[in-house]
Amino acid sequence: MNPQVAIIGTSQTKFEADKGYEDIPETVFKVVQQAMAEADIDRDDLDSIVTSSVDLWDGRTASNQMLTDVVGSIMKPESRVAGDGLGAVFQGMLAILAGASEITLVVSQCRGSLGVHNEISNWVFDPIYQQPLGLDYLSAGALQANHYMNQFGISQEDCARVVIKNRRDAQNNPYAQVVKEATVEEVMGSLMWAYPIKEMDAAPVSDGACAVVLASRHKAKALSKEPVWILGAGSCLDSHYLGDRDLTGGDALIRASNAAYGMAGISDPLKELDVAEVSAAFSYQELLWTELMGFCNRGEGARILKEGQTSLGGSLPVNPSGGMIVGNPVTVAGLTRLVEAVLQVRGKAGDRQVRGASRALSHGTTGCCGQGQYVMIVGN
Amino acid sequence: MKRNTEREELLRIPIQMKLQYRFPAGAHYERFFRELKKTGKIMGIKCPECERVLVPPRPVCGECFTRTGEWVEVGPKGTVVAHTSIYFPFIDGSTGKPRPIPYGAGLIQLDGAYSAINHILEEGDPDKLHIGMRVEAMLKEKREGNIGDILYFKTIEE
Amino acid sequence: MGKKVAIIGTGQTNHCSSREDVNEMELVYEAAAAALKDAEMTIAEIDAVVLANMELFEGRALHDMWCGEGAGAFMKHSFKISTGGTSGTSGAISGYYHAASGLFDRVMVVGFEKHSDGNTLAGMALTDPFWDRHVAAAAIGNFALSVSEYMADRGVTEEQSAKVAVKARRNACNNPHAHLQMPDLTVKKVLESPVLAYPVHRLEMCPQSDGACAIIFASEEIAKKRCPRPAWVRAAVTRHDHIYLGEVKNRLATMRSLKEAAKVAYETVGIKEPLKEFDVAEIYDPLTYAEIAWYEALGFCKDGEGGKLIDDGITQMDGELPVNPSGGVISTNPVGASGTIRVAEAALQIHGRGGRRQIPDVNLALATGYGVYCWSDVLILSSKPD
Repeated sequence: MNPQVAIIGTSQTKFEADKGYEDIPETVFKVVQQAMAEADIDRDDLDSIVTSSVDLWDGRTASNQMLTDVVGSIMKPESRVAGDGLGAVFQGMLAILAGASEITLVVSQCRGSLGVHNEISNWVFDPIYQQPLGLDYLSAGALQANHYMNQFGISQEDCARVVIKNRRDAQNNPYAQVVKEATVEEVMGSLMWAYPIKEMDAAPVSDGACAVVLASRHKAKALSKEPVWILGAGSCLDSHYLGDRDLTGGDALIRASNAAYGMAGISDPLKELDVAEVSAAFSYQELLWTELMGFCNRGEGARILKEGQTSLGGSLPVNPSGGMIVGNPVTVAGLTRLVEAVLQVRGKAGDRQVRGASRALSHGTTGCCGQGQYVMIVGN
Repeated sequence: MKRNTEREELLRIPIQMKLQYRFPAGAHYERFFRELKKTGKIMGIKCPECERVLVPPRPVCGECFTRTGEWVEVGPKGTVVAHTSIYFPFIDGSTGKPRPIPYGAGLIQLDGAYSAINHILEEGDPDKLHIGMRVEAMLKEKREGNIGDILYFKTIEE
Repeated sequence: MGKKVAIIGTGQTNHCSSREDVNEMELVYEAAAAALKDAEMTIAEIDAVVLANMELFEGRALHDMWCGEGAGAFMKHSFKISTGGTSGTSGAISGYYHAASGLFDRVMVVGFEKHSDGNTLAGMALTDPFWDRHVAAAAIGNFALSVSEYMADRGVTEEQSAKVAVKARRNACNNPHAHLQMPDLTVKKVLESPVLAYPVHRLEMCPQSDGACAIIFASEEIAKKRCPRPAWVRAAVTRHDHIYLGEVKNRLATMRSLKEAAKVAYETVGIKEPLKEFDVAEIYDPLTYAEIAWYEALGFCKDGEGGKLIDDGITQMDGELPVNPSGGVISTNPVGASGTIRVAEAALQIHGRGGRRQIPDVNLALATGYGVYCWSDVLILSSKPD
């Protein structure tokens, strides 16, 4: 089947630890204007808008209200996915496939500097059992990290090499927040936060926003010289209780990626994909996710990274943008991955360009330890 | 025989929410509150396309989807376009505590402004409130640069 | 173009001010299980799950992480829609998109809210930190303000408002799920209840309820096979408006987001005389005055004649267009579910499964959602696919 939905405009802010003076509407208005300019559309062309944000990170109720003016949604349909931006792309894509919209703006924003990330992430856990234990994204992630590393004999140095690769590649990404290169020794010597996760293994707290313009097949062909098509999409939700899950089994990601591969007609992702942008908030997660998405056999994520297969110039570069390790506004992460994937397919990724990229994977997660998983494959 | 009345109360798990946030005011609120604090002036911002003067000021006119432009002083006198008297101790979102009742509240269209703003009315008796009545902003002596610098709107005779 | 989609099953919990017997995830499960039973389906048959609720009322972040399993979302595509008061209808619209997209054939939507888990008034107060937090008296203060404008403009009376409350709470007596059932309520009693924010009395406002509601959407082939009388989704429209109360004049009377959404939905289905053509309407009435204002915005009557509709009994159970046989939001209000309930109740009427609240021979039904003046959703359901 011909792909029916295309991305005809993208934009992202620079990710920063604190955008200071600039308020959220201002940040969002900028990315919205840029994405619409790139798509060569104005507000009258927009049929619908989907935003993604989470009230508790924004510190206000129904927090998408504050975006009403700046996303152009006065007297238009706006909906919000309270979760990762890639989920919002799903909603936008479904509206187009349903015939309810021809051009949809998808916007995601998060301002991590407003609150305290780990305090807020404690409120993701059920209030009866897990929340009172004080779990947050970091401590839950550390449980998953140990489980994974123990099962497959992965060392802390193996994880550190993810940081090295991503920080090195981020030198080429003007939007990255963390642009300082690191050595394995530096990562190993950084502050131990929750064993085995150290400060430098973790994504920073960031402020930022992203926007994409989606279009129906008909509109994309009419409006864009270089539409990038959504070739495949899959998503899946795992159990909530950590103890109910096989923390390294990753059934949700396996299902989500298989659904996307099935739609896109991909059987060997390592060979058939040109680049992958993966949402990994901790270094170990990049290894784990690449395995679960079938880039290599289980337990071999560290090996293919060490061999350079996932580096720029390797057979399947993973996170040439630097990934979340160099900038992580919570709900924006997945949409950033999509924006980067689109830039790659268009050949517009600047110094981080993977030569000749024509098929790219973007991945987003929501909840802790990858409870919710989204995979989207785009191509030209 | 055990009776239902002896049943233990169902378990509730108390969790107190204590989260700290630091909200950036942004360029528009910043200027608005700075002006209010320093000079006691209430400022609106004009959309260059529809020419509506918006209060509170903001970066974008949603109606025209365009950047707002010129700053305009509005008020301090205005007209009540909607009113109520509150008899229920709602929580004041800025303090987290209920505000003493009863009190009057209104939508006040400041002279020179298009949009009307929410605020407290000095008059709380519904029989003495009506749409179209004239009011004036009463400011704190020692202003801090927040919306509380406008204490309330006082009924005036013109 | 999208595929044809119908609602083939609905389920709701019993709603009350505090469901002490279940936690929130179990509450969600109760609704989802009831919908599966209604549709004679198993959870294995469901392809995708959409959740909908407010977030801050219970203080949770990413609520769907915990409660998703209650809706059967485990190992399925799922996300949560949160658009204030319209969350429940916007969630339903998303569910419709899922099925109409051709990617999913059977989609579960669950709207839920457990107000007793948190502090709703605190949640509502957390608006614009620089402005509204200090001066707005949560939702009801804002309602009262717009009611004062509306009464002055359209001449609606306190008695007419009270009649809406009486109708709603009496209708609720026929709905086993409803929260506030008051068979003996009178206009006098409504107007004698305490004034919360002048002129709004306690009995004119919606309550806070614990509850959840689930809907199952199915693609054409499955709907025809699995449901004797599917409720086909014929229109699903959203419109958004300014967030500052004072930026739109005379907000209740204007309600242009609802007017515009209704206009587009009516055009889609070819409805010219809504009062005559609809057999039943389930509209999101956060307070009594709003129901009268929505009559006007939805074109049931001319502007200024909403009060007359209630005076003449047109919207009573035996009237020309029964509005809210379920008792409406002013009888039952788990916010994130309130919109979903409207859609479910409209579908129920077409399914003919309304029990004591069933209106005879419903072929065309209207459901609406409302969120703090910022959002309006309009859905039209029909017994015929086209």
